[in-house]
Amino acid sequence: MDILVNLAAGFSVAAQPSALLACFVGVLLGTLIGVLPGLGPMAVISLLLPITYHLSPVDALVMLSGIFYGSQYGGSITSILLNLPGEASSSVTCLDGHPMAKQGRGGVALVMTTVASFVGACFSIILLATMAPLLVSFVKNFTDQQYFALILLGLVAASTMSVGSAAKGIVMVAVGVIFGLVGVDIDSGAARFSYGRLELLDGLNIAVVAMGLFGISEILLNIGSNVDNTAISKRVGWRELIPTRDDWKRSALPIGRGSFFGALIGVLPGAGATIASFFAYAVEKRSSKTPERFGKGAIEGVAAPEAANNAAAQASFIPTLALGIPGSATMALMLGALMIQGIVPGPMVMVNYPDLFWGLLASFWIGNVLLVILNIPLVNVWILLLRVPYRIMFPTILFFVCLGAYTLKFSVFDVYCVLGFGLLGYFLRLLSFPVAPLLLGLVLGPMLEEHFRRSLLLAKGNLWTFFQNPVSATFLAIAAALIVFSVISQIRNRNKPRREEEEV
Amino acid sequence: MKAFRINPQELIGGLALLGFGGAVMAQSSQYAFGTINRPGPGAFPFGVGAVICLLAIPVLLEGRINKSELAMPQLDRILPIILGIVAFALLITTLGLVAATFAVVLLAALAERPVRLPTATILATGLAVFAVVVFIVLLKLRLKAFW
Repeated sequence: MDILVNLAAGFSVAAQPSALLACFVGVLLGTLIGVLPGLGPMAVISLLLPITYHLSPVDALVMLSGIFYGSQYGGSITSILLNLPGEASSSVTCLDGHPMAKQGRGGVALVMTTVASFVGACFSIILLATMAPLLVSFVKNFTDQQYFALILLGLVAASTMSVGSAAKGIVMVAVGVIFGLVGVDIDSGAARFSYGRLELLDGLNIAVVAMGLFGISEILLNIGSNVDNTAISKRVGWRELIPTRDDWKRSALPIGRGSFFGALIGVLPGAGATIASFFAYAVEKRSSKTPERFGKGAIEGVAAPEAANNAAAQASFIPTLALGIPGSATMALMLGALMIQGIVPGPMVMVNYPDLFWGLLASFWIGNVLLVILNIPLVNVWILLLRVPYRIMFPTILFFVCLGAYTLKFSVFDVYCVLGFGLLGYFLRLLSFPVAPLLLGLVLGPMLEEHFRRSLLLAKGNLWTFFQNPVSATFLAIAAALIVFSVISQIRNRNKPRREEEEV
Repeated sequence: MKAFRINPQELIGGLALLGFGGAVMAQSSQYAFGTINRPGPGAFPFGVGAVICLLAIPVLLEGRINKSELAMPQLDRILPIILGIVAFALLITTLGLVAATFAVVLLAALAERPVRLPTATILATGLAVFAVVVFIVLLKLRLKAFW
């Protein structure tokens, strides 16, 4: 039983005081931003990325991922009690969660959400532990051609599946790749796109780009649109919390199905927690004998999507950690945190740094247990936090972004870079271009080029080399099929309103 | 037959992409291309620039499908933020952390409606004290509190 031995080793890593503290801080912050609408995990993770320079690789990743999956828990609290989704992935929870709260069963909904989230997360953690080693052994000996095709497939899938327009998604990846190439070319030593600025020779810093694209542009979009949330005062009594036997019976199967579909969808690049939760809700409603109960406080409609979005959140770590291919911008930041530590992402991470992989996995479990503890008894504290007005939140974030950018290298240039990328992100969002693919391109661009150039070198300039190997040819064919498919579905849906939310 | 009309959102986006892709291609052509056996530093970015230009075409055409309105930037909201960041950048190395904190927080407060400077002043004071204590006194970062 290799897995059990590895897991035991992982727990000994994750149980060290510094890792435990990192995990606690991560899930605490995650819950906090999950509760606050208008403040997503991306902005906060990019804000904390500079801090991880001072942490060990394990602690850094444990904390950042805690923020990510913690926000999935927190988002559902406001969905249920206030009909205000804290995160996009918990918006479907409003449909039945809020009616339950109106019927005085908000506490039951919260408990069921937490249980469902926990089960969903555990399901995906087990999947991660069993699938990741298999995936690694599959891609470990990939040639440059195969890895090039795999990265390309990952990028195409991530940019076509989640957003409305395939062309806009892919072009944003390409723009990101160009930003990723800024700096000294490792192969030839030539400086590219640096325009004589010494600061650019090392390339653009991923933390700076992410803080601009997600932190600053979010502030630019939301500032001044004052949501008055000071009037909120709802408390949940202790007695409301206990679900009935009937609640458990109704929820058990939906939680199982939600976990399964969530994990499946989470592994795919681009299709993250939001799609998973909507899908799980649709499945329950369609397979129910009493679909008319949905939307009026059916507990299945809370349990299934919450299991699904947490399962998807955890499952999205599978391609990221095993293949080095992030499916979303959040996962790209995780890889960014690895690179900051000098670890090259890819299948060799698991082989060379088993402590990191298994420690992180064990921390997921610890983090999810902490989240259960944080969520149920402290629910009233989280609701109180909603009263923090935006006029305090936004300037504070802005200040920390500026300070974080400056203290990265004590360079004023980085502050201007943050501003530049903030404005870029703002205008891109105004023109409804997705921003997340840009970050994916930035992270994977240099790897894509490296494998491309080495492939040609090894194949003596034969461009067909990418199609001559069955594995790489298959990857490229799937990528092409995805593009065709998304173009067709876009034309077919031309009259329907487009989905504007973006998966982060 | 309907007149061929491109949505302004996609028109601006598509043209900007054409410009960006063209600039990338022009810039890359100044780097060594290498040979097909051994591509130089210019080859890959040149290709990506070409892809960006090519993809600008479907983006432009998408204006026929997309009917969403063009959102205008709200200058009175974003200008204070931009000025705040610039002021921070200018002040952090000259007048120090405290002045930079006040500048960014107070300027950002001008973006809120209604503007409430007393609240912002209290917030700025709190953040400045926090930053000086944590980053200068405790973490000993290379920052100066005052000039």
